[in-house]
Formats: sequence, C-alpha cells, structure tokens
Amino acid sequence: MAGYIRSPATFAWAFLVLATLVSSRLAAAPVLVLLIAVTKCRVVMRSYMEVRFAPAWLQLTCDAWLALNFAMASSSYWLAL
Amino acid sequence: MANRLRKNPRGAAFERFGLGCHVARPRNSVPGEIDIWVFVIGDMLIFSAYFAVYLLLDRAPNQALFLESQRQLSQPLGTANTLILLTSSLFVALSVQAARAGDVRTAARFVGFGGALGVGFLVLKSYEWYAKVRAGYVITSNAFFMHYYMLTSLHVAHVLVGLVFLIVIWRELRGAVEGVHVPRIALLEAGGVYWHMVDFLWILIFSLLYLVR
Repeated sequence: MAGYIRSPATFAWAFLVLATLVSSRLAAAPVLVLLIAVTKCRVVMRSYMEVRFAPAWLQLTCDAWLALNFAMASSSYWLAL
Repeated sequence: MANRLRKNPRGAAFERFGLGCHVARPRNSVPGEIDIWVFVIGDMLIFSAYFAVYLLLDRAPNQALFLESQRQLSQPLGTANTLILLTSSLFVALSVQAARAGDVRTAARFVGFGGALGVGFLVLKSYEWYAKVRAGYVITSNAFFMHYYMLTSLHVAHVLVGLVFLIVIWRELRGAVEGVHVPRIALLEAGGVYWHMVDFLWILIFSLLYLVR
C-alpha cells in the first residue's frame, strides 16, 4: 500500500491541500482565489482524471471550460470594483 | 492488459527514484468510456450555465447583499469539506492505479476509503445546512441563500450518484478479490472520472460561495 501512497497522485494531492489552505487566507484577492481554484481543477483533471493522456480534443475541451469559468467569474468581480 | 499499458516518462522517473508504483494509461485514449465523458461534459456545461446566472445576473447587481450573506457561511466547514473530497479523490485515483497493477485487494480498500470520505462530506454538509436553517437562513431568505442551497443541493445530488458509482466499483473489485472475474478497468476509470468531476465542481463552488468576497 505504501508504494501507491508515494505515487504522483499523492504529490498532486499535497499540492491541492496546500493550495486550498492558501486560498482560504486570500478572501481579499478574488481574482487570485479564482486563479488558484481553476489551477486546482486543472490538476484534478490532468492528474486524477488522467486527461493528460487523453486525445487533444478532450484536453482542449477541459481547458476551454476552465478558461470560460475563470473569465466569467473574474470579469464579474472586476465589474463590481 | 499489462502489455497494453505503458508507463509515461514521468511515471518511470518516479519509479526510478523509488516513488511508488505508477502505471499510466496509453496516450490518446479516453479515460474510462466515451459515454461517461458525454455525461461529464454535459454536467460541466450545466454548472457553467448556473455559475453565469449566479455571477452575472444575480451577484453583480447585489454586491452588498451577497457579501453580507457570504459572511454567514462557515469558511472552516467549507475548507474541511474540500479537504475531505480531495482526499477521497486521491483514494479513488490510487484505487484505479492499484487495479491496473493487478492488486485488486488494495484497490478495493482504497475505493472503500474514498467512499467513506464521500459519506463524511455528506454528513458535514448536512450539519452545515442544519446550522444555517437553525440560524434562520433558509432558501427563501434572499437571492444569495437561494443560490447557496440550489448549488450545494445540486452538488450533493452528484455526490450521491458518485457514491453509487463507487459502490459499483467496490463490488467489481470484491468480485475480483474473490476470483469471480477479472476487474473491468474501463468501468473503474469511468467511475473514477465521475467522482473526480464531483471533486472539481466542489472546488469551484467552494471558491465562488465561500472564498471570493
């Protein structure tokens, strides 16, 4: 079991946990919080869902979806400033 | 199956340095089944449409109300639930790797841990809803709480469906442990893909509802 726990997925998990803890301290920086959230989603997609081994169309679809959500969310907060 | 799979360079590097067994999938192949991706991409689009309504139609013109309402949410509870779901996803990812390596007993154990954490997420979410209702914040309180209950309920429905997927995977792996059949790796990958979607949707919901102010 220890062999699996020392796999790249665990390194991805450590990054995700760290990013979650950091972003929970950054409420005053909305665009940075959104950027961290989108980065976390991308790590989940590429590492856990193994999208990095998928055909280009699937990788592009996932990245486009993340870009769309980031653009939508960050623009709504910029508009509010 | 072992011949069909090959290790990617990064995985090989991890193994070279003794960092665990990492069996990657072949390049240019869809993880799981194409059908699960049709379902997942459909769900992603539905959530995007909901995020658009929340952010652009309701939040933008009601900044003060949304900021004040957001302060009533418990950020520590939201963070704890995020960590629970991230850890659950890790176990499900490790389960798929273990199954590929032929270690079905460990794979079944990992998916059991993942499912238990998924139940933990639901317990904590139920407590959070209970605390909010007790404090007088219900779905009809204001526009923010309508979105809060709608988005989190929609997500909880996905967690429940995900748990059904995990039970199916666990049964598949238990059957393999008992020597009844060989586990269908594509089925395990498909269940994993769905469970990880539940994870990344929560990452966005958590950021939009709890963190961004």
